[in-house]
Amino acid sequence: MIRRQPSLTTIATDETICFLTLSTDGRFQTLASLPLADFLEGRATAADLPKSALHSVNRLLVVPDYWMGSRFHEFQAHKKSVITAFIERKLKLEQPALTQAGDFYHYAVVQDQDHRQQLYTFYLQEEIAYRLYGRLETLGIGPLRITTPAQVWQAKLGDRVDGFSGKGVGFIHLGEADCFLYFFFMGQFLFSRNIQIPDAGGDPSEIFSLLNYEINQSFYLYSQKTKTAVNRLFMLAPDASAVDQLTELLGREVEALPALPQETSIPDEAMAFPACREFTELDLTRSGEHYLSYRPLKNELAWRPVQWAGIAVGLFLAVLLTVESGALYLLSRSVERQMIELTPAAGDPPEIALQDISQALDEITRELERPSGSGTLMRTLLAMPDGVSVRKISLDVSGTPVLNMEAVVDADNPDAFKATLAAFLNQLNQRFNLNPNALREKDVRIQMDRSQGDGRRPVYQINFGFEIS
Amino acid sequence: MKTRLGKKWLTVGVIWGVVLAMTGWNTLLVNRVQSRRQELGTLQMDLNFLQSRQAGIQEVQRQRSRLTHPVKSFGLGYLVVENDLKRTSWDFGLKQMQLEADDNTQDSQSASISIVAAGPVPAIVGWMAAVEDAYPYLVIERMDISYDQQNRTGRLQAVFNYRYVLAETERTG
Repeated sequence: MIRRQPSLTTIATDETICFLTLSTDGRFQTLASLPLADFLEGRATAADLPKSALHSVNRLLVVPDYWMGSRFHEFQAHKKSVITAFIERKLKLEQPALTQAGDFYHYAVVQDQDHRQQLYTFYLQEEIAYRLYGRLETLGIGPLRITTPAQVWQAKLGDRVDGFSGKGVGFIHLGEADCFLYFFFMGQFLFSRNIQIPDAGGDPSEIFSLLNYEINQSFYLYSQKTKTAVNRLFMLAPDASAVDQLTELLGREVEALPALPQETSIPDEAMAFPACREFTELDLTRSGEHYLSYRPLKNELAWRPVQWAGIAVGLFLAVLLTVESGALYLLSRSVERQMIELTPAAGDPPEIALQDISQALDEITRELERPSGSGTLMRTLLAMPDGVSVRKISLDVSGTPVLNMEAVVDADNPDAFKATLAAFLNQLNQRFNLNPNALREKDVRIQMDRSQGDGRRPVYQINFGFEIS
Repeated sequence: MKTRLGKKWLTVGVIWGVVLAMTGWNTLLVNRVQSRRQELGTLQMDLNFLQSRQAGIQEVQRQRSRLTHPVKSFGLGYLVVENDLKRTSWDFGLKQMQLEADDNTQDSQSASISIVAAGPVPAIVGWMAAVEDAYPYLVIERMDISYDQQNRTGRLQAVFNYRYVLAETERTG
């Protein structure tokens, strides 16, 4: 059975790194929380991490917002290779100290209000981020993706705010002791601020005055960076009345962030990361464009579906082929059994018997084709017309069967002899089927003997031979 | 992580290697089964043929067995042949029959036997027909029949090829 490797989520701040794992009930559990400096310097070793953490897949690393930088560039090309080449060239020029920045960036193509294409790039801009990645990689738990709280909020707001990508959006995340300000332009994170809230001794007006000041400063920075104003301002606060108070102070509408789940998934130990306190399991596991990955790893990860498809299809085929192999084995055994059953236990195998029969038939046929002595004699004698007397018949069948014959013809004159001879030859041709090599008069040696009798009547001696079949 | 991805490629390679190997093995099995089934089909057809043509096959074997003379030795076989031929010649009224085995042509399966006899030509023809019919293992190789018109008798000189097989059981005429 294939066991899915447990997932690991890592959250880092300037002071701490926390390793979280997802439990079966969908909540995060803290596996370990270590001082970041100790972890980076190697004072906190692998022994300080539970084995389960080291055997997990680190799916996400959340780092502080300022560890990641971002840029907008007006850019017309759409081709991926042109865009990546442009970004890598820009990073090399603008961040010459970050030699690895070309491997740690992500981009989005957006359109501004004037419908001009803008290229939004975000990348790791702090050296500590690279060190952390390297350290995690050394331990075999290099993260697949890296993001920031601001990027996670960007994804969350994108889901909840209509027209998020087309407007300037500000977001105030107010806590008990701190407040985070996030600003987004064209649906992309622009900058964030972290405000420590002083202990006002039960007087909230001082806190709101501070917030008013900081927010206005941020508006100013926003307008400087984007040449536009913030269109909508959202707020998430423990107290709903804070939205109204801030609206009154700022003199513009502040909207409460709609429909956030009350229950978060981050455990208490991780509350050391206040920026992440409202995040759920879904926020940290969802796919989207708000992450960057180590690019060589990303390229390899792009092959992961192919690998899984290859494994799945391969296994499926292997199972099918195993079943087929088993079926073929059974079939072959069945055929072998039938062969054994059919093969006679005693006597020659059928093919030998048939071969023997074939040989017997050949021998019999050969014998039948041989001219028989008596048959040849009978046919010869029957072919003889009146007036022909045989003197000698020789048959030789040791090679090509040949019949030689000597005979005398009793005829009154040559014409009568000719007629008798023609009749004789004709009969022989018919009885021995000599056509097309029929016997003719020219094949017959003829001698005339007048020494017998009164010498007036000649005796015609004939002598000839022919092949018979 | 890279190592894990590398291992996964290795896994993919191993699995597909197994798939290819099993495909080859199954192809081999398919060919073997196909070949054996063809052999089985041929065997069944052969057996059916042998069963359905049992009578014909027995007749063929009988005819074939008549083409050779099973004897314990050539000498014994020759005695049988000599006796048979002479007895038949008496039946047809042939006279002065003489037989002689040609030792030079004798091998383990056949031998030439020369025959000389005299008698009327129809008797010679009848004797010849009777011999060919009764003793198929005597095959004529050469034959000369000369006719003496004054005495009205024929003289036969013939060479038969006597085919025999050395066997424990002997068949006599």
